[in-house]
Amino acid sequence: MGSVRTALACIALIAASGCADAAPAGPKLQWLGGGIITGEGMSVSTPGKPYLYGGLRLCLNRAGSVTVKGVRLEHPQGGIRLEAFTLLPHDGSSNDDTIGNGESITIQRKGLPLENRQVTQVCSPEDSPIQKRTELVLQLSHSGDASGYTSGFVVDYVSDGSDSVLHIDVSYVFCSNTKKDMPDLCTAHKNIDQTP
Amino acid sequence: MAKYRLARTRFLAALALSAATVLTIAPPSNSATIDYPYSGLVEKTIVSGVVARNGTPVYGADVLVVAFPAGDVLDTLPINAEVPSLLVGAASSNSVGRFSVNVDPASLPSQYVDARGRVQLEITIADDTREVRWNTTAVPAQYPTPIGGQEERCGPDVTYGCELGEPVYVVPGAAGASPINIVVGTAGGVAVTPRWSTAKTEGLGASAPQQLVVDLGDQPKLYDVNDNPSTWMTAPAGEEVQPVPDGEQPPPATTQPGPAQPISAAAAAALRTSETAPRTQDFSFVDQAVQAGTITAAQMSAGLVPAAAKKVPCGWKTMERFPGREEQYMGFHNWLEAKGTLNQKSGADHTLGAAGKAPGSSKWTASGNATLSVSSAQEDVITRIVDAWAIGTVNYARWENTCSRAQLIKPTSLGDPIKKFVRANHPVLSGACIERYNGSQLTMTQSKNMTISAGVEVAGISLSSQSGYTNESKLTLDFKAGTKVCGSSSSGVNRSARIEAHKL
Repeated sequence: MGSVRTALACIALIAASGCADAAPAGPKLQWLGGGIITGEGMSVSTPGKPYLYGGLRLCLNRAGSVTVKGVRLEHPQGGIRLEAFTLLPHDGSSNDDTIGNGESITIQRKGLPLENRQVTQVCSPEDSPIQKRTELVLQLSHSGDASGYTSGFVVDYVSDGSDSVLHIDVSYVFCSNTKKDMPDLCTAHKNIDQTP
Repeated sequence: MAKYRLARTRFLAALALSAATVLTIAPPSNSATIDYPYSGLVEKTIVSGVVARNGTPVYGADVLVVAFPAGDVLDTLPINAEVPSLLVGAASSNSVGRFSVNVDPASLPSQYVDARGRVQLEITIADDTREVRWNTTAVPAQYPTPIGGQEERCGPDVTYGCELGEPVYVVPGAAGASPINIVVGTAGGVAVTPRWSTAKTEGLGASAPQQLVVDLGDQPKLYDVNDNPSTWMTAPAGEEVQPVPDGEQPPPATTQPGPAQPISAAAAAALRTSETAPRTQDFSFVDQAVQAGTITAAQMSAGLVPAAAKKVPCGWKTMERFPGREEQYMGFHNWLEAKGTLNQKSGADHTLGAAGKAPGSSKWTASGNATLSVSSAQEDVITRIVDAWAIGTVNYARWENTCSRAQLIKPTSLGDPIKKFVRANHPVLSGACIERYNGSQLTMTQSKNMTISAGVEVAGISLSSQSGYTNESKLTLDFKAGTKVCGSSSSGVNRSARIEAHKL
């Protein structure tokens, strides 16, 4: 009787809002973030220059594999652009992130592979000395005079044939070197003006 | 203080009218007392807890919740003037010592609620003869968090192997944050989404009302189950330092402060102890109001205290003020080319400890805290900070109970949110690291910052301070040269509770 109730509830949920994310058949992609750092970016950004951001740790909630179809900006403002991304598997032999943040170079020139779209590492227990994960590396830039901003990213992926999404809630700001248009986010603008 | 208490009244008729929220009533005991209703955790619950005596749950312990005025009223009352407080809720504990006090936000007079819907509260928990008191700030829930509707871990139906204060439910916090323990079952076991929370649980990314553990026995205890003092830190500080202009070097340290460390186990245990005082006459007043029909059980369960029952006979009067006490609250651990910016915008929260002293006692014990916010007139931003602790100021007062002459040292308002900076230790953190390049920046706006055990000194007493990272209380680092940022967690810099930035 209980299983009949569950099935009926799921049918009702599918009718109302779609049930695909509620109970994915395959493994679920997770982001090891949501902690202390909520904002990234460049305090002074040169339009057109690429900047690399690594350290975004992804893993699966259980054994299996998912395929990342793409990464999108979420609620972008100004001229921010996501030019490319790649996925780097790590076996956990080092806990340091290999790709730093803010280096002005392309993924290709950095010598990183562009073709990998699979995530297979299962999340390790919190604070385990060995952290297997896949590092998401973003190549971002901004164009025009205005500062660029995104509230985060959406990762579209396929797990066991089903489409799903992962939200990465870290904002990125690229502060214009000519316009002081995002004073709350671009603290370097204050540094320019303020004498201690 | 032996007290004659009024004959027990059961409120059964009233309970029938409010069956939606009231689960049970505390059972009759042999003493001549009136029990207030027991509801499980409901949407309007503002505080829950478990009451014991020497580890054994107390049946029919009584709880009163009183609100203090918002704004600058507490700072402007003349010395010896009574603090205008109001009774806003009452409840009794059930057969396993659990209680929940409910407050309907609509029942609160506007002068008792600040612009963000927050209320300063005092909670008095008593058995037939003794009481303890706790201060807290109830804040509107910002993270709708369903509680209950799942199997209980330790509760009315599960008691085997359960220690005092073990949770009925465990609610997950934000990623990487501690879970939140709930010590009371929900009404009927169904899922409830509370409307009240505390700044501390909000800092963990979930909403839940204050959860207290009380032991009125030979070694009284009183603590917030979600704020374990064993996680509080020392924060040694050196001399005053100034922001460092670009291109300049900071002056050499005259003293090198040690690293922040967890406080000792003995100190953490001491912060959970309390002292009891004789049961206040306020309970007799509420008993009489019940007998007179001025307040009903249904009203208590609904969190609606009628105007005629709001003014209890015993209150507090201000005896002494301690303005401008320095508060140490946010640490920067960064090198010269990773200078920091501290934002203290309107609404930035600071949670500051309170201390109480029982009548005739010479010992101050922890008595909760108050969460105070930076006002728009106090907003401040300081840049170019290197290896420093931020120091703000807080206004404290010493109050005396008008009946028992118990004492309370309580924060009443914030002063200057950024008065100065003092030198901080630069720790070595063994978690994950990431490199940062010239021109990049990072921002911290969403995390529960550590609680500093002796963040404020008032009248020779050390009190705690804590200020979470929020959009209003923000820390930013700007990198002007290659830098390595390391965290305290192997799960990643972003998952760390603390970070430091040093030269690459």
